[in-house]
Amino acid sequence: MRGFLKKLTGFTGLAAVIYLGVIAVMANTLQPVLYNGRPVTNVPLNQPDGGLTVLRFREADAFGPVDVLFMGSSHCYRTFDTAWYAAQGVRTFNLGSSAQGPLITRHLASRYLDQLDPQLVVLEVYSETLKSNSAESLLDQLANRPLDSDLVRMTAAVGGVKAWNALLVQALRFTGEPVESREPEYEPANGHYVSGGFVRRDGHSGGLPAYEGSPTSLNGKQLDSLGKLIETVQGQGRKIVLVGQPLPAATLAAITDYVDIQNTVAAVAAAHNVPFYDFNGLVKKAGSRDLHDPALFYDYHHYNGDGVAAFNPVFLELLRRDGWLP
Amino acid sequence: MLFNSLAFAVFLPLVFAAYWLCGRHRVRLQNLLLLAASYVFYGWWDWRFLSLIVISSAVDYVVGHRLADTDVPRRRKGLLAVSLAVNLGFLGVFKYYDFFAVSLTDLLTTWGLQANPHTLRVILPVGISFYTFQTLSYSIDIYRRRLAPSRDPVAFFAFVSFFPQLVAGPIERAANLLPQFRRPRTFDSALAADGLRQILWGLIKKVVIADNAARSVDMIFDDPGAYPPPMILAGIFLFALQIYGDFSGYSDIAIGTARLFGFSLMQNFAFPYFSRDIAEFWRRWHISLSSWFRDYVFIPLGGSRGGKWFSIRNILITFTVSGLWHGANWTFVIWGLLNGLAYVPLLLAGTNKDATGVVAEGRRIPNPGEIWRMGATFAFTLLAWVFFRAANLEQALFILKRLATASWLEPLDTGLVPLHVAYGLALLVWEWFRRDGQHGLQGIPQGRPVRWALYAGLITILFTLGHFGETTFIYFQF
Repeated sequence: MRGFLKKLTGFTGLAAVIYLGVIAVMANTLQPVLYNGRPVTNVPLNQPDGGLTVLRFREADAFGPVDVLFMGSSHCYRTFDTAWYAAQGVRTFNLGSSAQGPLITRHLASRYLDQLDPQLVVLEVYSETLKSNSAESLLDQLANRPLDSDLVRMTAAVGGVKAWNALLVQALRFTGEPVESREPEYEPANGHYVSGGFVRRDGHSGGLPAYEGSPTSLNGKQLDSLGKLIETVQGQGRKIVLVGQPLPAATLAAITDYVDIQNTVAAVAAAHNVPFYDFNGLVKKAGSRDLHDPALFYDYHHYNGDGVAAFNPVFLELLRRDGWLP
Repeated sequence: MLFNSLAFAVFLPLVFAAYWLCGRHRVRLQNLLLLAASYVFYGWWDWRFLSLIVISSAVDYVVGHRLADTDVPRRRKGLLAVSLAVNLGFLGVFKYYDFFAVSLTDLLTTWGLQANPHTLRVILPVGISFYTFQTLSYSIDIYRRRLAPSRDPVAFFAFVSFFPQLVAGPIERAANLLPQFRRPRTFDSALAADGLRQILWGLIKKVVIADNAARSVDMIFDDPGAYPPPMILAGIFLFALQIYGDFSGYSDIAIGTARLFGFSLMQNFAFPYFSRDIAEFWRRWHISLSSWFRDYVFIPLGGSRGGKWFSIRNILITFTVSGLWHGANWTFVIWGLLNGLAYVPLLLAGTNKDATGVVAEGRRIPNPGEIWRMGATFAFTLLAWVFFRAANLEQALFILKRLATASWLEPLDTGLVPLHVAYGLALLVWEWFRRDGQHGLQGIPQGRPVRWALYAGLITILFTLGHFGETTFIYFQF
């Protein structure tokens, strides 16, 4: 047995060295292996920065205190306009990131709640992020933040070979500019970063194909994290509300299980005595403007500047009416 | 718990360490540990269905004893009937009830009669077809006086629920596996090392070949009308590789895992796609099930003792029932029947036992005759797999019609399909050169540095090219 274990240990070491060597080569050449334009490996080599995450988290590290902290997916950082709220006398920070579901939000909350010290947390909830395993969101975090133990814990929470490979890629990437000094590529078409984490994008892409809906079902880990996230925020004596951003009617129709998922979220919210402002169901009539008008969106689910300008006054009024903000 | 999950990667070393720390002379403690580990392994999926395994084990344990204690034929038959009723009853309720209720309703409707079937819509307990067959064979063998009943309940319950082969086989016979639970096991480093190699090979087949192929297969079979014949053909070929990689991969992991604990399970796949006729294919594909049906269905029906027509009837019944074992759907029944029909000419010609041994033994390249026979057999299995994979008979016939009538020159977006085909071909080429062993990594002749580099390279391929998605093993549904 001893000889067997000795050989096994030796082999494991060799296999680990070879594996890490291969990942290191891939990480530093950053050339995804593609076939017919599709990735072949499950080693994520792309460095996404569509939501200007690098700027947001760099700013978050030196920000606070705030009245309201917005958290959630790209709906969050493309909807809640921090500059507009500042003009209304409400200090806010927008900690949204790509495809951020409760699994990732929970980790971000444990890191940033003390520092940003919000009275109220507004958690944007989107059915599709509740279905995901958060791999996309994790990749966004890994590619845009300096590697630390927080990101390792986040990777463990997401789990899976792809997630760990993504972490290894970041750990073994020695070429290119470090995240700490990297300046993101501003793409006017993709949006302008506004201090406080908001990203504004104008225009309207009428030519985009309609959303087809995801066939996958609710991810249990996301739902579990949602409950724990609410408890964490409440446990610190802070208030929290959940919100579902308005979506165009065609998109809503494509998400065939939308109502089931939102009902599940509503049940979690009710169990924790927290309101869930689902603008696609519970608050259909909010405001005088049709917040679902496709003209307010630059694609099938993200608000453009007009949408942001229409939505935020309605939402702030709602928060004040219900006593969540003075 | 899935073999390709992180949970199993933690579970296996823990059980392995605890098992050998028990000491080789404490067989009962080791068996108790294996029993507990097996129940944890199964309960990880859904602990409620553990009760079925416990009931099935308890019934057959008691029936086995009572059978050994009596010589009264009527009482012996009654006891066997109890075992059959309980085990086949579980299968009937959980697997077949809804299928037969709906099929009967459809039949009545075609006769103009109205019926509202009451369906149960219960989930299919994982592995129920495997462990019920395993315990059934135990009772039947005691009834036939070919086996003495187990006097050790822990050993018997551990035999029924032995976690490496609990949910997808190999379906072990009590005569082979049960004695291994009784005798002391000594750690054999050569056996354990080969077990690890077999686990690695199984994972490669499952995660790199089968799960990647599954992406292309699902894409094509979900909407076959959208693809031209070359893509559909590629989809069928990939399904053949998927089901082989998936199921034989599971068997390899199961056998390799059992070896780590000092157990020897039967070979379940012997490179079936190199078969020269369909009879040889069924001696090489899912061997534990084929031999189970031979011993407990075909032979009790009379086997080939009553003349050609009698044999043909028995063959067709056996293959059809085997098809139904795979799933409660007419597609599986047709698949089984097709295989039976392909077997009949061999039976009539008396050549069904001609193709034995390793094809082209001692040669690297098969001769033209062998190539033709292997190619024809493989082509037939592809045809049959269409029925196995299709959602229903209409889709299967649509696919075959499309292959025959649609233009082969339509423009096509091949996506990752050619790449997955290349993976499959690479597997076949590798296994061709390893076809005289028990698995693809057995008996590599080179020295340790080359072998270790090969294994490390395969591990790298596993984690960089493998598809680690939300996939289970296909045979879990059977």
